[in-house]
Amino acid sequence: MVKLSEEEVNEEESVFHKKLKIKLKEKGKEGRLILLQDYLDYLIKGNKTIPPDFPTFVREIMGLDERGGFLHIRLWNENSELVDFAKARGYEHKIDTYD
Amino acid sequence: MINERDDFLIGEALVGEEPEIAHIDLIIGSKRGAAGAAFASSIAQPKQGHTPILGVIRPNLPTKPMTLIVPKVSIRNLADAEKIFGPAQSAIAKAVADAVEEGVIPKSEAEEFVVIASAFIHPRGKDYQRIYRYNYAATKLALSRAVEKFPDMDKVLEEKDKSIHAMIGFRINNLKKPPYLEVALDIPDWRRVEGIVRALPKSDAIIIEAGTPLIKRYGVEVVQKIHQLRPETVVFADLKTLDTGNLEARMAGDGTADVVGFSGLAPVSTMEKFIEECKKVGALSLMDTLNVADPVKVLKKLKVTPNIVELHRPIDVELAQSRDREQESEWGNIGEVKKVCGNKVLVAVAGGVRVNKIEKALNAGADIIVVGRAITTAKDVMGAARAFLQRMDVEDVDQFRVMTDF
Repeated sequence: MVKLSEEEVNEEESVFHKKLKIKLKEKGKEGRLILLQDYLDYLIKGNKTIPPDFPTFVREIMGLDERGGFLHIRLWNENSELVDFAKARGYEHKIDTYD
Repeated sequence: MINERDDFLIGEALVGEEPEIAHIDLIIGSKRGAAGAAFASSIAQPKQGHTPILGVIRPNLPTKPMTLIVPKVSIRNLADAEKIFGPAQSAIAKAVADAVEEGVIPKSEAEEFVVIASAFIHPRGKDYQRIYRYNYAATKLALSRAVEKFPDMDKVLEEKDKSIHAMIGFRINNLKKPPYLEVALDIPDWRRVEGIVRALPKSDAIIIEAGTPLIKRYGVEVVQKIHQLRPETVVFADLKTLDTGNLEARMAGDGTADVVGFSGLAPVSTMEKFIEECKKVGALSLMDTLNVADPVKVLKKLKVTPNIVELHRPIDVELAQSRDREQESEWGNIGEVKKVCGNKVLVAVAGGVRVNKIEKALNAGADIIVVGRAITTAKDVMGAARAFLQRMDVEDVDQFRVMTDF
């Protein structure tokens, strides 16, 4: 079995990533379903290709902990389709470093 | 002006800004030839919404050579008709007469020739000044182009791969200007991939590789999503196909891949079917030589050769070797690979390429440098990619794509 060198392990871990804190419009499962419906609506009406990880995203949204009404979604770039969506659909949101 | 072989000449021009933008397609030729026959036939058989009209400079003063104007967009109402019968008709007629005055059309031939000009007037166009001026300019340009037989074939061949069609908004890059930097995205996490794709510099010299793990997780649809983010960037679907060559090539082609990769370990018939299918779907084919002992021997067996050969060191080997940084990478005999493909192939080198190895790879004849983790795991993805591009000495954007025809 091939193991990563120490330098390469550090290289992997040093990757810069962030999180999108997005406030649900309603609490609980209903709020998550509204968010997913809204996101799909945003993609389809904007003639955007459905992200290839959409099924994974659905599972992620339904499974994430709600922290004060916010979901914390992992991001790799502030210039992301999810951030565009949050802005376009009027979701209260904030971009933060990942903890 | 027109020799016997030509019978008639054809010209085209697009001038102005939307919505009044003018697009003229025209033919000019003898009354006694095909142009004359088309002229008579069109005027005698008007089609609803596309009634051909004679070009007049003012009422009761037709231009010479006699000119028939055919509206491209259906005339639905009086407002549409007024634009054609007013500013466009007058502009086209005046442009034809001016072309005679300026010697573009010999005055002695004015009675001999006819012109048929097909004119585009957008229903939203309102400004008569602009409609007149744009149609005048487009007609004169189309006439002079017809006479000069613009473009010559060399121009078409030169421009075909670097032009952007106004209606599409992007162009297809056929990799005619190496070297290229191929950024390999082997990470099976879409959101991370999206971040990297968005962070990469806007450069014509970048190819994005949808790596095998990424495609295995999400399917070839991932290529479409990458193209949505970067419509002009060449996207390579690294399928490493071993069987059902035509089926997999078509799947990737349908998924909008520009380049599709198969394994050099596949049966010869699979590779040949794969390459042929790539030609059908308009994609470039790439042979991946991962674990192929003698790529040249494999290439010699093929009736059709791929567009790209990737000389590949596997990630597992690369990681093992990375412990010994002094060890040199070996990509094989690039010159021999090119020779066996009649020098009509691009060679990509992959595996462990860092900035300090660029020069060695390029000097060895590599056209495409494949880089993965050195860019995708960098803190500053854009900076890392720029470092490679700078070392490769490639322009960010192809400056020659600017349209300078008029």
